[in-house]
Amino acid sequence: MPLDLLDTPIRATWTLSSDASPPADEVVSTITQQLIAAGVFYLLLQPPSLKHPACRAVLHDLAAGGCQTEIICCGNEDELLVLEERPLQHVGLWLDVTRFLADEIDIDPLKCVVQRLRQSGLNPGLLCPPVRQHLLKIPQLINLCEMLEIARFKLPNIGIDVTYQSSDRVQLPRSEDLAALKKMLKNTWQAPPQLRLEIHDLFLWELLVPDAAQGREEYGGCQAANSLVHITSQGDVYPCISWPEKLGSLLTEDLGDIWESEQRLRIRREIAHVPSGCNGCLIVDDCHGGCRGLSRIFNKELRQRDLLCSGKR
Amino acid sequence: MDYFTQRPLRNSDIVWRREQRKEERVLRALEEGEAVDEQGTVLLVVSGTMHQLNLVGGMIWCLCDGTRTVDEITAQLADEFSVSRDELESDVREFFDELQQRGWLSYV
Repeated sequence: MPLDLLDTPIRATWTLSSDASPPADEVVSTITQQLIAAGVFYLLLQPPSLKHPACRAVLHDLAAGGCQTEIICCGNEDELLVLEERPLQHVGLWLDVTRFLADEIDIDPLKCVVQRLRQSGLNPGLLCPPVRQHLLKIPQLINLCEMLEIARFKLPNIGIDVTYQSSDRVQLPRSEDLAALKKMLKNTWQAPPQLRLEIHDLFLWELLVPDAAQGREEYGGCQAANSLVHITSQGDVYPCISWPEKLGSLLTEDLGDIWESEQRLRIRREIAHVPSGCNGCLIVDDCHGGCRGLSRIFNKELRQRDLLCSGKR
Repeated sequence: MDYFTQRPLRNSDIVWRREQRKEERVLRALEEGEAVDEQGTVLLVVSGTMHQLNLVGGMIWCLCDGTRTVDEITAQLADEFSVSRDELESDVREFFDELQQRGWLSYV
């Protein structure tokens, strides 16, 4: 049965805190209760969530409410001190490797942070936002996971700041970047079997998990504003971390009501409509146009084809 | 053991929830004589993949907590949908067989 409109999302990303203006504890508490009441199954807390004083209480409440939570740590000293002060419970941890990716990967500092996290009782997975400048480092990062005995590697959706500027598009990967990665991987590529890969982009998934075609029939297309939602530190609700269109606020509205709003339904209708850039493509019934949040903003010239799609097949 | 006295139990690794607003809409549509077989009212996540069960499948799923026998579940459904048990038995059995085959439930 194809996945139809859900009452509320089941996967959320939440930027619990903000360096510029950390939310009051009441705001954090309201958002937490809303997510629990909505029956969200999985939550990924975005940086700098760890720094918020209410973070531990939030993790406790979410676990009690049946929500499986993971948190992203950037490996900054102040985050590490928070984690070393008292072990973190009820949560999976991802280490965002961005700050370790200069021209080359800073392996020794990365190893040091992984070791400190392990000493704090945590078993981090590595997370790498698949922006353009990171793409060719992915194979090396996967090898690094093997070397450091890290069991999980994640390529999340690329988050767009809600105040996004046109310059942001420089960071976004394009089909030529994917082609370069493909060339680098060659045909013999195989991810280490013991490594759990979480790849949110369909085209990257197809490339990095060569037997992916078997699982493709399960892919129902972009889940923005359906099973997915993004929440900002001030409680604003977005269809997905890659879709900067505000749907409402959890401080004033019920998430279930926002999910019944005309604006949310319009987004789902837009997603159900195949992008004109995909007309006539043989695989559009498989990919459903890929990442629609990014393509609707940044790929207007290619009539909203996925940014990583090289063209009609 | 007699099949009808077995107690189906959902696989506890499966995360699931009832879509209550959707269920209300589906029940209204059913009352108005619309086809609702393809409308999901229970959502499951199995090994990271989402699945939906329709109204009847969802009701059966909700009852599979290991305390009710197949016989009791069939009787409850017959009562709920005002149909005879005979009409339901083979469909219910087929549904249980499929769930068991997928590893989504076992019998206790």
